[in-house]
Amino acid sequence: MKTIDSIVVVGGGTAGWLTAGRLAVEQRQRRPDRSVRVTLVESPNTPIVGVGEGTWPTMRATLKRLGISETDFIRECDATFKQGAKFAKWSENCDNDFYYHPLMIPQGFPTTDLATHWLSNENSVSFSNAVCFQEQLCENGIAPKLISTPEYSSVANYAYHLDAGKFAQYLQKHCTESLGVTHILADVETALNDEEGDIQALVTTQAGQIEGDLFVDCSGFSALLIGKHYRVPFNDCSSVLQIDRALASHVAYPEPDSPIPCHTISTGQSAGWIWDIGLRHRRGVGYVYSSDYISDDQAEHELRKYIGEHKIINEPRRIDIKSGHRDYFWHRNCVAVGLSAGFLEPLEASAIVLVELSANMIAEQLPATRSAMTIVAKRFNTTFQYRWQRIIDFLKLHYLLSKRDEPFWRSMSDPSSVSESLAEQLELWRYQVPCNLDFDSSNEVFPAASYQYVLYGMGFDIDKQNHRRSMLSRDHAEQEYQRNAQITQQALAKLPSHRELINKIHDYGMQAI
Amino acid sequence: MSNIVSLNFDKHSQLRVQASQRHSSAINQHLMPVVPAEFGRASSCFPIIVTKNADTGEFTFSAMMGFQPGENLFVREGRWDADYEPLQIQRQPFFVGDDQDSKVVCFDSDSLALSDDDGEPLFNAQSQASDYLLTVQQILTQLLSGEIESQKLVSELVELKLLTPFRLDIEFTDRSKQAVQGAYMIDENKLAELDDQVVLRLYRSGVIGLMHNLQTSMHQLPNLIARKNRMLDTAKSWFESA
Repeated sequence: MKTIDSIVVVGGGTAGWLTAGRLAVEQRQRRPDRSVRVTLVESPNTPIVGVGEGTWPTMRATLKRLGISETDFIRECDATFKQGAKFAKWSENCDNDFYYHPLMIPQGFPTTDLATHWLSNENSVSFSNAVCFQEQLCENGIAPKLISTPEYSSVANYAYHLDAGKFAQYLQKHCTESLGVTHILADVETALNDEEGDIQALVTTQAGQIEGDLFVDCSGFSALLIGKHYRVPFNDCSSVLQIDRALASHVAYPEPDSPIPCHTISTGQSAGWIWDIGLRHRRGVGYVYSSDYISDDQAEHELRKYIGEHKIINEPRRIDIKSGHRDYFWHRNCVAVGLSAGFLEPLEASAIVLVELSANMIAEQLPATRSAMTIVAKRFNTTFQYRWQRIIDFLKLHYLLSKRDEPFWRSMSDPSSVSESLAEQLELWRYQVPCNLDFDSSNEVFPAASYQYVLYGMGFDIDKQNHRRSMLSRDHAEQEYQRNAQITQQALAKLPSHRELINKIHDYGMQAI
Repeated sequence: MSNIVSLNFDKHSQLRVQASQRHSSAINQHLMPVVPAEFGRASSCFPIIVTKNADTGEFTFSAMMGFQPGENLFVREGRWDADYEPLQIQRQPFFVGDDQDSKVVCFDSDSLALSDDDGEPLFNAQSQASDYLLTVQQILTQLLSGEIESQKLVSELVELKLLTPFRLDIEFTDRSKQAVQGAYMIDENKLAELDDQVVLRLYRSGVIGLMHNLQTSMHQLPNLIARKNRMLDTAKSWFESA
């Protein structure tokens, strides 16, 4: 019986190192008696894409599991805290149009349903401000924790912004020095199959043949194994999500001690949106757009207009995006993780979280033998087909509710480009708020609360007449709103500014406990 | 309020300290920093807990004198009521300040422990530092080196993961409840799991002894609770008799 003793990861970007590290840790803990080798093969000639700078809160558990100190990670990767996303000019193209998608669930959720109550009132307070304190922290540049809060613990839920290039280097160092991952610098020319059709070995230019039992394709957009070698079909999603280009640049802060925003700022433009991410020493700013509606030159013009007077450190670099994913991700003894599996667009930072979810599932379910792998592969494919679809729906939702009138936005909000599952949910949500029952699969990616923030942030039109009435007494609801207001005041008074906390972490570090 | 002045014979030859009032600055302090050199003596009077410096997040050692900010249960009717006075109180109202590149002894001229006519003189008839001032200078030196010893001990404990958070939920006799959180103590299980080699090294360097002090100091917790209850009872009888 053929056992799985050697795992070969192809690609040395964020996906490659995260997956290699996760697999190495799991194998070590689960089978200390059996040494499963993890090898990462990286091309010395292909630079990593290195644009993904936003994570989900899941990254905290991922890093902790890899045995990484949060202090080291923040220091080495120029990382900062992220408490959600601010969507400006997505609903209408005017200056006071914005809403937040914070990382904390609404006050009392899910036992107390404030959303229905909020909808039934004429509201002067935005949904996210009424039910969550995080928008206020973000608007005031406040950190999600104190210097005395232990590593990976929080006062307010958080994810990270990070320098993707430094992150890959940091992970490489950790994986090779602490987790026993073997690092080989070599260009993969081709893969050799055995008589069954499994990959037996990679043929490399510099390191000869590299054999393995499981191959993880983290080779980025080039998709060396899942695409070039196995030709697994690519499911093109560009009719639903039309972004196909990115212009990425780095921008300086006006002063070394300028405030650092504690959230991703996403601002609608004529044919897409601009991301704005604050790291310790610089901002990452980029425009993602659809080339059907704007030329590269015009896009660059819009990007420069957004950047304004601020100094550009790295001139805009163009990256082509092909929105879509593989029909399936695990084929024979090869599984694709990261951009090789697919990419939609940077909205809601779904790229890195999919890497984490994939690495988790492979690590947790990796069978001991080749014969059981086929079953795991089948499950993996079902799970991730579902997840990709849910992510596509959730991203689409952001555009669908826009009232902007430029051709790009009209086309993106055209009901004919909406999946059946999303159309059904939207119909339902005209009469009731998104609740956990709408998302009962164990494979959900975005929780019901996220849909609430986007729907009511975008000003979703409900059927007022027939919408479900709130079951909450006025007193109960009032209590919850008061509680949220109280927490907001306490948090604003107690927590330091984001910049101050980042500086302190560099000066003193955080304690593990 | 405090008013910082550097000590100078010409100006302060007549100044005296009332040792019995040294604790006056501590009446509202529930956590009193202590250094390893005094762990032994302090542990016979107070629980010594590990807490985090609010500004830096770094671990520090403190004698616990109350359950909440503003409460010092060892000051009773204006008097210091414990067999041991931590160095941080003994030094009062003096401290070490920086004067350009050198260290100088400073004091808080608003301190209630200072007097012009009563208490220990700071200078003798020969215009030299009095025995009392010499002792204060020794204490200040001890505190300075104690800071470094504290840091060494902290990094040893952190490195070996020997600290563990603990939480206390106390109900006092008046039914009021108090949670003590943000405090850390020695993790006995981790301590028991240490390699023999490591234990030997820690024993030789004195760390085992200090950890033992920290552990035994926890037996002072019931005494501290009893103190609080006595205080509450006194208050109650006061109001009832009124």
